[in-house]
Amino acid sequence: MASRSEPENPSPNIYIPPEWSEAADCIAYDSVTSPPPIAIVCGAKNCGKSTFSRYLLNILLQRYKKVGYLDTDVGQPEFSPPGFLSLTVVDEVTPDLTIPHLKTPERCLFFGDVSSKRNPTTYLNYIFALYDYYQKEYCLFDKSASPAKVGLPLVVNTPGWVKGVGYDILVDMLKYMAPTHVVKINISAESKNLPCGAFWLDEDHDGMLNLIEINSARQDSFNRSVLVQKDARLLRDVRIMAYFRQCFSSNLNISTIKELAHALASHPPYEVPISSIKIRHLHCQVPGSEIFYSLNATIVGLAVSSEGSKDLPWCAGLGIVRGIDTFKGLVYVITPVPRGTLEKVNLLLQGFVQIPTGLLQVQGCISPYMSANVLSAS
Amino acid sequence: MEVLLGVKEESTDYVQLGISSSSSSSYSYKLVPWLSWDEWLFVDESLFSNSPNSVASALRRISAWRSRGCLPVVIEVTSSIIEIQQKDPYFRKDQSNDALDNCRGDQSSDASLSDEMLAMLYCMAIMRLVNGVVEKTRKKTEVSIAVAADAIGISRTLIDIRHEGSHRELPALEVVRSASVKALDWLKYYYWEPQKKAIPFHSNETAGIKTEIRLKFHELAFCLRIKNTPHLCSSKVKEKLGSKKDLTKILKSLVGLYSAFSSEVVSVLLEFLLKGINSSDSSELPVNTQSSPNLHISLNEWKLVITKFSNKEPELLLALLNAVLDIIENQEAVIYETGWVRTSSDHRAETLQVEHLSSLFKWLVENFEGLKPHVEKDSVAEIKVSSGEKTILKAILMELLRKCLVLSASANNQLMDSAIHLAQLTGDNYLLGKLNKLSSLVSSNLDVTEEDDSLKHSNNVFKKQDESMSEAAKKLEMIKRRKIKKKVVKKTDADAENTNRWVLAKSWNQCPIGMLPRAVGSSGCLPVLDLNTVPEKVSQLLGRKENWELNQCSGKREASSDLHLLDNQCVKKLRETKDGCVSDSEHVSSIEDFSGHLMIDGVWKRVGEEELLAIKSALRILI
Repeated sequence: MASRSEPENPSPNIYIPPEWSEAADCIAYDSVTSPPPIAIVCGAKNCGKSTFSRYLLNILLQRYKKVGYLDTDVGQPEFSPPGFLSLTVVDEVTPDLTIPHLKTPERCLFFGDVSSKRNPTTYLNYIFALYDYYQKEYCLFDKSASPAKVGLPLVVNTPGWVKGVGYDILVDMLKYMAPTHVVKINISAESKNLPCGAFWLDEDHDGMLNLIEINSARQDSFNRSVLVQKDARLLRDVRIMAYFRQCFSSNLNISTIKELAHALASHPPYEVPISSIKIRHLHCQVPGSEIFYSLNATIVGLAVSSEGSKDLPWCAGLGIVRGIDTFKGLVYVITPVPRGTLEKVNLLLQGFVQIPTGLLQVQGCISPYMSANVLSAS
Repeated sequence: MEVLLGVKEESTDYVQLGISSSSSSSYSYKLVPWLSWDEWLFVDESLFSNSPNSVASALRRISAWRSRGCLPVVIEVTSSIIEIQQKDPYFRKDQSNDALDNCRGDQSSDASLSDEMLAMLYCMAIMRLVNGVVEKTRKKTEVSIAVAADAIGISRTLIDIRHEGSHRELPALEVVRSASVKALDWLKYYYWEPQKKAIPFHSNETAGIKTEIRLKFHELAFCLRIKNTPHLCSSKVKEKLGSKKDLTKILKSLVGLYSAFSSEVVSVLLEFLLKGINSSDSSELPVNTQSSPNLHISLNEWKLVITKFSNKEPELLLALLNAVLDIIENQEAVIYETGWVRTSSDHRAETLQVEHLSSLFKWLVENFEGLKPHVEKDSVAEIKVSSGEKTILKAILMELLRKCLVLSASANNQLMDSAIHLAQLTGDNYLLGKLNKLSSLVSSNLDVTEEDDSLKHSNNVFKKQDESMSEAAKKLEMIKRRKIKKKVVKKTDADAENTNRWVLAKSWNQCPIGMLPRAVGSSGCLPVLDLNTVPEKVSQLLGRKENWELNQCSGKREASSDLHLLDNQCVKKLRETKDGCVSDSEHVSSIEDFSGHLMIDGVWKRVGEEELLAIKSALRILI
């Protein structure tokens, strides 16, 4: 890896080509501040969408005090653990662009899977709900009441699924949001790219639009894009573990997966009366008699059914249902969500965000769901 | 590089840490949707049964598994095919499909699926079978699906149906229907049967497990014998059996057995102990028997085994204590019931047995006492000492203490002593003082008993014993009341802040995720996940049969089932209480946290704490 490591560069492994900084500057400074820019970043897998979004966020923060960040990449979100769609208001520059950092989102919804393919309609509805919230809270001001108030710019990061249904979803998203800027990152493998031009618009469209097409950051000597292949599953597990690391004070010496798994196994959980909460699976029909078989030892979204609309309850974070005592009528939940926020949580949303197996294997304390003697054929 | 969790994102670091999050490289363990092999066996048995109700319950469980996201494709396809067959009039014959319709609630009574639709369903299931299974096993060299399928013995018919169904005309219903039978046979041959064989031991074969446990205990005993008597055996034998490695291995497998079959382990161990007691009774065998390869293991050797084992699994001692008390209780009952008619020698033997058991109990208590600092030292090394462990432990000790006291009322000095030791363990000085007084009271009674022994069971003795019993009960109630008062005060403080549903567990002992904590140790016990065991229903169920049953549905937290934690099979325990005296098996502190309901003449009535106490103590004296 040819890294241009300058001493003052806080993230030496990240290379921002001139083309990228021009694009970011263009979004941040070319427009008038009102209405604020709404920029959607899209492109194929591993082309650098997230890195560009992070970079753009930092550039925007030089001009604006706060910037909104709408994350639609449900598999690898920027500020939240996997499975979430979220709107985060960022007010400080991220010094390190290499790694996503967990932040408490302004609003988030638990989609409960790492790809939109399980339920594209719901996925889109979630995104629209978050976008509507952004519009309502940060853009539509009563001009006469607070003329000085400036709208919040928005960066939208998208998933790298740009073919088939993924493409349709992206088009719907772009149409709904009508962004001021669209950043399209192209890679050298043409067939994997999005179509040229403003692919999402009908022909007779004539609105204000800036389409910025840039190339992925790195090319080899043959001008082929160098894509950073990521082990998506591993990354997800790391994100989830980093999320639950927050259950413990940062002073505690927990730095390996083993230590975290051990700490979680002995961490006193919240005990919640089963009668006081609802349990819902987002993607599966679970027979009434089987809910606890389905729920035990899974990761759930902690939602507030009274907030947000009926089908789209705002979410407070993730929890691990670490045990269920049907005799005492209690579920035991581990979560880093603070007590104050938790009080409103009355709905556990199940999905397909799988608990990292590393957390289930504590020496001498192995979860029953990690089984030996399983036929390899299965 | 930024560090997340202190673990760098590079996979090389994972390798260095020896951890990998991909399940494939965590060689022997695999994420499964079932809690135990028992659950798997239940599904295996029900799925292929003739009863539509059983099949329906298996299909329900499989949907729960599917919702967990790690369902093996072979199970998924099996359940699909069976569910389709249940929709097919050909397989359904005349049997009612109500059960199935009921369970898959919202699916309308689609008894009249057209043949095309049925064929489509079968075809899809078969395609998923072939593709799903073959994809997993197909080697790079096997270009064609047919070759790959042949390698794992999938019938050619199924391969052809996959091909026809995807690329040509939809195969006829008759074809896919008979293919579905073939597919199921293949799935049984390929997955269900071999998997069943690969399960270490089935818990419905209790006998088999007990044999296994016996064997391991014997191994451990011999291992220890060889270790402790080095002069006895040649070094060769020692190498063969007594090495430290072997010892650790045996202990490890025993701990494993205990976590899965705790009650069986306890009962086997008790069996050995009783045998040991009886034989040491008849002929006082020296500990180091020179007649070497005999199978006899003396009581002392068993004690050593227990010490070793309980160092690894401290909870064993509590479970044993509980079990020994149960036996003494039974013995005493026998003595009282039959004491009148039996000869004195019989009677004497039984009393002797009780005496031995009591001394065993005493020994166990002392052992536990000796173990305790060790346990604490251990947990300090862990990340956090859970204060909760102590709370649960205390609750269990109190329960043991109570039982112990009730039994010691019949002038059992050793149990009285043990009770005092137990009280010391709880660390409650006030309680200890009271007990000491009580003990002197009882021993004064004892003098009387011995004097009057020749008069057999004179009314006087009974009266005295009754008195001392009720005395003990009264004192205990007093102590309890004091404790309750203390707790109530504390509770109101706490109530101010946590009136809500999210309450941090006050006591928590380390246990695997997906399990519930045990009192001591970190092995955890398997939860009961059936919906119909939710408290309201349980108490309703019991309420019908019981006149006296505390209603547990008040919803507040209570600590009554701490003793359940000792028993792996919580259900069993609960069922047992049906015919036993329920309120007696309730825990000391069960009445603390909620003012319960009582079923009186078939009506649930709210009763105050005081009333409950009164009823409870009355019940106890009746016994």
